[in-house]
Amino acid sequence: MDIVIILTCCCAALIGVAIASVFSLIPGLHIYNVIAFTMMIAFAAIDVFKTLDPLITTCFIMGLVVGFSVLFTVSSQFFQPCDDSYRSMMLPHERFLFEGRGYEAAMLSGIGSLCALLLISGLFPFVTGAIGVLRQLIRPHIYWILGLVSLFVLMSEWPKDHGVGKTTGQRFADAWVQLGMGLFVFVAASILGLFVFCNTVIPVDNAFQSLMPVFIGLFAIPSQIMAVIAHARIPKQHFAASVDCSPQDIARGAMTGTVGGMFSSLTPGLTPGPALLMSAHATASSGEQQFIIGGGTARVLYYIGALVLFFMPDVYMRRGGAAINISLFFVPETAEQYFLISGIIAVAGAASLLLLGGYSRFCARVAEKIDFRWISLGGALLLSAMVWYVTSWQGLALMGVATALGLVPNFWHTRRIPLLAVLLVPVCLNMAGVGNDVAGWLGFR
Amino acid sequence: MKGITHFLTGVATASCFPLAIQTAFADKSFLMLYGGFCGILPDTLDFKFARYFWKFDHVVNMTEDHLDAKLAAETVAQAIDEAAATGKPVRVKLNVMRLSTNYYRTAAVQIDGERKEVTVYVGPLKTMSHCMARGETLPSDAARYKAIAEKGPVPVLADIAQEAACLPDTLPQPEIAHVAKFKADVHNTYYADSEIGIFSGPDWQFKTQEDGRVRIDFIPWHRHWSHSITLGLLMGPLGFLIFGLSGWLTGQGWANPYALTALIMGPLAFWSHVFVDQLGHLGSNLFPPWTHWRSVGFKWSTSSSAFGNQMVNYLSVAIILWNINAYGPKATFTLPWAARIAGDFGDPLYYLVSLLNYAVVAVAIPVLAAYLLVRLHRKYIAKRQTVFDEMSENEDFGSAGGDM
Repeated sequence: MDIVIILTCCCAALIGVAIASVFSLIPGLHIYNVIAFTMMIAFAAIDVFKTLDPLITTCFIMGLVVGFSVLFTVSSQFFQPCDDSYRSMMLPHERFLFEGRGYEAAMLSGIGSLCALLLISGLFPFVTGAIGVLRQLIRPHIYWILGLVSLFVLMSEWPKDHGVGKTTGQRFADAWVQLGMGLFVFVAASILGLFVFCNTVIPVDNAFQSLMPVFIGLFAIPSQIMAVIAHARIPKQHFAASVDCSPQDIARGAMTGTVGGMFSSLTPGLTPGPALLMSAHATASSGEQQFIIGGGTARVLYYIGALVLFFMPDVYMRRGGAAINISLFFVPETAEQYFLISGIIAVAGAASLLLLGGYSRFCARVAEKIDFRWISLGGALLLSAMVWYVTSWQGLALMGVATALGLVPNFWHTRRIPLLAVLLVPVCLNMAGVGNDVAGWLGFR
Repeated sequence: MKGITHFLTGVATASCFPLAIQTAFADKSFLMLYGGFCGILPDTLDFKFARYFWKFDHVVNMTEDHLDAKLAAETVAQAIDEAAATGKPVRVKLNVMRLSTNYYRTAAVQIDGERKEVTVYVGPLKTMSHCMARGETLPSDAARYKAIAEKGPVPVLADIAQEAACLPDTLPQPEIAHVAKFKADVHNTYYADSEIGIFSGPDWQFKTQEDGRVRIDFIPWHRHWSHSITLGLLMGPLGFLIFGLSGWLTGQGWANPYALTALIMGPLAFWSHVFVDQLGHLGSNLFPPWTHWRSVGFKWSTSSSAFGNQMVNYLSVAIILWNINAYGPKATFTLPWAARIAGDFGDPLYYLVSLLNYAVVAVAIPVLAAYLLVRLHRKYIAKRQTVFDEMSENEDFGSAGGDM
């Protein structure tokens, strides 16, 4: 391969990382939305786009994904503190922020990301055959695997009441209000998902973005609304010179994240949330450090690992928004291209990790100087404008419905994972061949 | 064991039925889900239903303003003697002390049958993660008793509290602890120690046994009828009903192959949960209404043991992958030993040779390697377990982490 192409690809990837770092400052903005915009711009300027080697654009997108997967949680961590009156418990990174240890949490997450990047760039090239066999093995069984994930999400939400009610009825109600709302969220999200999969509400030109308003509505906007109404104060952050974690925490956190990340990257329709939930239970993950490290590993393996499967000999699996967009103009053909992509991931990953420290400090200082409520308000307006621009008023309406549903877990202290039924259930039913029948029963056909 | 471990053993059991795998290539039934459902169902019944219908004779509420270790210790001790005196079951619950969304005031409660003492030691503030990781730093019961014989219970619980992961500088000063005495002989079916920490409880039932001793049952509402062989039998008809109805609606009739498979699979998946639970400390009541006590488990591991859970889960996934490969219309991979002989998975010899090869390469070697790795880590690297003396180190592989 021509050295000029390789160097150009590296530069394109680094530009991708730089752009991802800017967009990652907006909490809730997803990199797939940025990629979709990139593609819209690319197709608008098709004459310029055609002159580029497809591999260069591919590496640019790869840089975007790598940069985003390492950095995007930093802004939401610093700019979206939770209000504990809307929670039954705080997640470790949220609590770290209130203890002035937000920077430490970001670094722990970075350690997890580093483990995942080492696996993707250092180990994956030697196990492509095994990954290919695994993929072939589970491919016909995805429908029941997704069904199992849905079932586990439903059955594994244990009551978080404290059992202090004076009567049986009080104790039962304390538990089942939360459990019942989790069940409601799961069913409502499933119905919403089936509706979106069966009806083209979005204008036809941008129908390929029909899930965008749903996901922004379910996850991003509710988080921003909760941040705007939060009664919380972010204390001054301490920039620690070291992190408090043992080698065992790193090993076990990385193992949890690897299992969750690989599971989600090999299973269409599965996102890192439920996969990490299952892997954290399965590997008996323990403690806050392992939780944060595992999250970092799983996210990177999901976003980058799933994308790298598209280039991997023996696999060539198109999975996720980035791979779908890349497949519009590039078809991987050789092992050489795969090795180049692995190298690009290593370069972009190293750049992202080098950025992480300064990036976290910057976010911490911004959070000290600017009220996080304004950042979230601005983020919500920006995302709404983006939804309106891409999917018109129909998308905004869909986003409104999804937002209402996305707020329910916050007000009723349930988990947000049941919201992912919006994807899990329709994909599972469609793969099982009964999606049309169920949609018909619901009047969507 | 953890919920996912039971869930996966249920799925692994289901995968042993060829139809559950082969349906993925035909009319895509959800038999595998029924295996997972039956696998996790016993804990669902207990934690989402049974525990709310349990009545307690004594409930102790301590608060941050009133950290009364004496009240808690004396209540438990008196309840033991009350059970001995009346012959009736006496149930005690010590409510959790939640300070905020993040922090809980903790207290260790130790029932020592040898010394006939209940010791309550008020500990530091902890988060949920701290409480859940407690088992990883606890010494074994044997090490604890040895240290208690030398130093007494309060200094030992103080050592454990100081070693625990917690919010720094939150251990009450001066220390708050109380030792209460009871008279009855007891049979403690669980660990010596529990913690007032997160969620609900802890709670106990004290009841006189046939030999006159008071039996101590930790979380007595757990693992009774819901974890029995008897209830498992009902999973067969339930599965038949679900898949029979589904078949009837789709024109396959009630007694379709899926319904008949579910009839056998349901009880086996449910019993896989019961079996795995016997590996821990609590056991379960196996044949209600004919039996009334929980069996005592084999004590090989605990629910919070990372190694125990990981290995059972690994075995379950290995079984599932094996069955997917063996029962599919065409094998995705062929192992080297089987590659030397003719045939396919329909041929018993080929199947057995492949299985043996798989068991060695994919199960025995990785599990053994993991075991040795953990042993070496414990011996040479890990320093997190509370150690009272050199002899007590590495006595309990599962650690005293609790068994839910």
